Amino acid sequence: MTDTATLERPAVAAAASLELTHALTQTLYREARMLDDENYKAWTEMLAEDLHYHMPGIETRYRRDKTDQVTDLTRMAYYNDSKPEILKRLSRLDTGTAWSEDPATRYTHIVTNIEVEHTEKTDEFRVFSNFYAYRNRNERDEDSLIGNRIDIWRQTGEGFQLVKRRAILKHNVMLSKNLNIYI
Amino acid sequence: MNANIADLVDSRTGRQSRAIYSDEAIYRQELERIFGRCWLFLVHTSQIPGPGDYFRTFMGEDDIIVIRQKDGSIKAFLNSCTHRGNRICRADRGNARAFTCNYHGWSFSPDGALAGVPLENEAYFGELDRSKFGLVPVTKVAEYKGLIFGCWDANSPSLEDYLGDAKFFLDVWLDAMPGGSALLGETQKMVLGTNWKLPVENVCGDGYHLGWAHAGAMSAVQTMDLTGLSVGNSGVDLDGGLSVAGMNGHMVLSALDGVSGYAFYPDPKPILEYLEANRQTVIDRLGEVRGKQVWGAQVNITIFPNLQLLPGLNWFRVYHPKGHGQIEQWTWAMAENDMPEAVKAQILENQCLTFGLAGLFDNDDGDNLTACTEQSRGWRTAQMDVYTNMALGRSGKREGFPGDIAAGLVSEHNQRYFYRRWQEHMMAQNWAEVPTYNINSLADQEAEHA
Repeated sequence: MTDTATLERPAVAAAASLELTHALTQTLYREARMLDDENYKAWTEMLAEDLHYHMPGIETRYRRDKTDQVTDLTRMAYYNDSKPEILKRLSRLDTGTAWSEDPATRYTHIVTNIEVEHTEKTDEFRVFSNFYAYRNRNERDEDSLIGNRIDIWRQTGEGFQLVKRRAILKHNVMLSKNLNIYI
Repeated sequence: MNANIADLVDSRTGRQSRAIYSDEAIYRQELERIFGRCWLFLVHTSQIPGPGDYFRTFMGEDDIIVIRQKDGSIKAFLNSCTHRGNRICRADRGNARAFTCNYHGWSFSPDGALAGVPLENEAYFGELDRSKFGLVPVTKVAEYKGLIFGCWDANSPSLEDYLGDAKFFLDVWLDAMPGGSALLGETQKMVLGTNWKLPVENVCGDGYHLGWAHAGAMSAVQTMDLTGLSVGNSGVDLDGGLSVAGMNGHMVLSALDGVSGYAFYPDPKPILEYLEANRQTVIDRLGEVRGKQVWGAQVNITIFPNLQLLPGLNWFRVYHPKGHGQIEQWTWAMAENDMPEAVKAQILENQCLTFGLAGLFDNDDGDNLTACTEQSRGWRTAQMDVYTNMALGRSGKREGFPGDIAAGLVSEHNQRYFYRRWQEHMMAQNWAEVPTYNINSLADQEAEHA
């Protein structure tokens, strides 16, 4: 993959200006609002064509076990998607026959701890954040998904676009019946 | 209780009482008579390849460590210190030279022996007989072509006899190619608020729900025909597949086209090329029926009570009971070792998309299975029945296949056999009272021809 910036942080990274940090913070908040509203058309417009969206699964291991559970893409993941795959997932909602999505799940995405850095690419920025995604469904179904994200966002003529995202959930056993959510 | 169990299921009419999903006393009896008696899947040999490699799993609600020995054999133990009962292993898997208890430091070697006791001479005065405090082993551990099973009941049939004619179908994954099989990736674990029987029933025979419950998911990812099953259940080709049961409580759904296992792959081309390049090899190894029709087709295999594997869609799943209304569903991706790396990567990716935690199909099932369980808990609903009464009495022998077979993937034939087996185990006091049957066994069919 690539001529895009890497998610892995170099030893020394340059912090972004207040202005750039503000612009990207607002972008993350806007993205969260699109997801809360299930406005997936607007959300996917924020995704670059060469997107890689990755959410690894995490097993419980002893500290001495140095298995790379996070960056190794040949391991199990909940999401390991390109943009066409994201669009394919979303197309299920447009069929009118995704019965389990009706009534709708009620989502709130809270994004915090935002740090913005320059990368080796002048138009791409590394953005760290934490998330708290809350879901409530039917009468009593609810769960909280909390974790960290590392993103690469690219500056384009039409605003920032998400190029890479690694979202790390903290669960071992998922305490709910599915992951019908983007984080 | 037995009189009660006799009334709860009628496999001739396909009736089940909803109490079997909600009654806690029944669940406690299942832990004894089903999970305490049957052979249960523990691990695939590919998950613990080297000496000291271990994997943690469950037998019923009991926490188990499965560990590869120095000599290559595999042993399994209760994950519980024999001193005060503490869990001695906290990781999902790894490699260990010993398991040392966090509580008082008792340590156990990979063969289960109590190897070290702090202050053994000073505080126990050298009077502790270590040989009496080894880890408690699973009574029987056996392998069938890479699948390791454990069983608590010393009087059970051998694993081979337990699997019976289901081996005919298991071999379509385990023995199709010379390189054998593997499970890929970490364990995807999910809590579902459902009784353990409902997901087993869903996959063992219920082709009926596919075109309806999963209509949205099918529209999103389907690229090939699957026995005429269509979105919205507007059509079905009953000649295109089989519902196979009557094999000691194991069940199989199989399409017969040799490719439709990959119907839910957005880009099946690389896998179809692999299938065609190797089909003759598989025909040579397994014969025409399995090599041409079954290998590559959509195949759902259920090994009673709680193991399901779907070569083709390539997911492998175990349901661990966690109380009468809750399970953990554990999923891995399946592969053949002869598959090119790119195909294995595609299988892992497709699992994310379809039957992983975020899989489009799993989104639908979780919702339905939990609601079916909840609707068995009311004072009134617990007294009601549910039905698997489709295509009653429409089954028989099929040339080239073992089992009592109904046409098509849409039939409730297999579910009736699942509940029949459940009832047989629940009513039996011990293995001697559990009937063994391999209906239309191929060995018998050959004898007839001779």
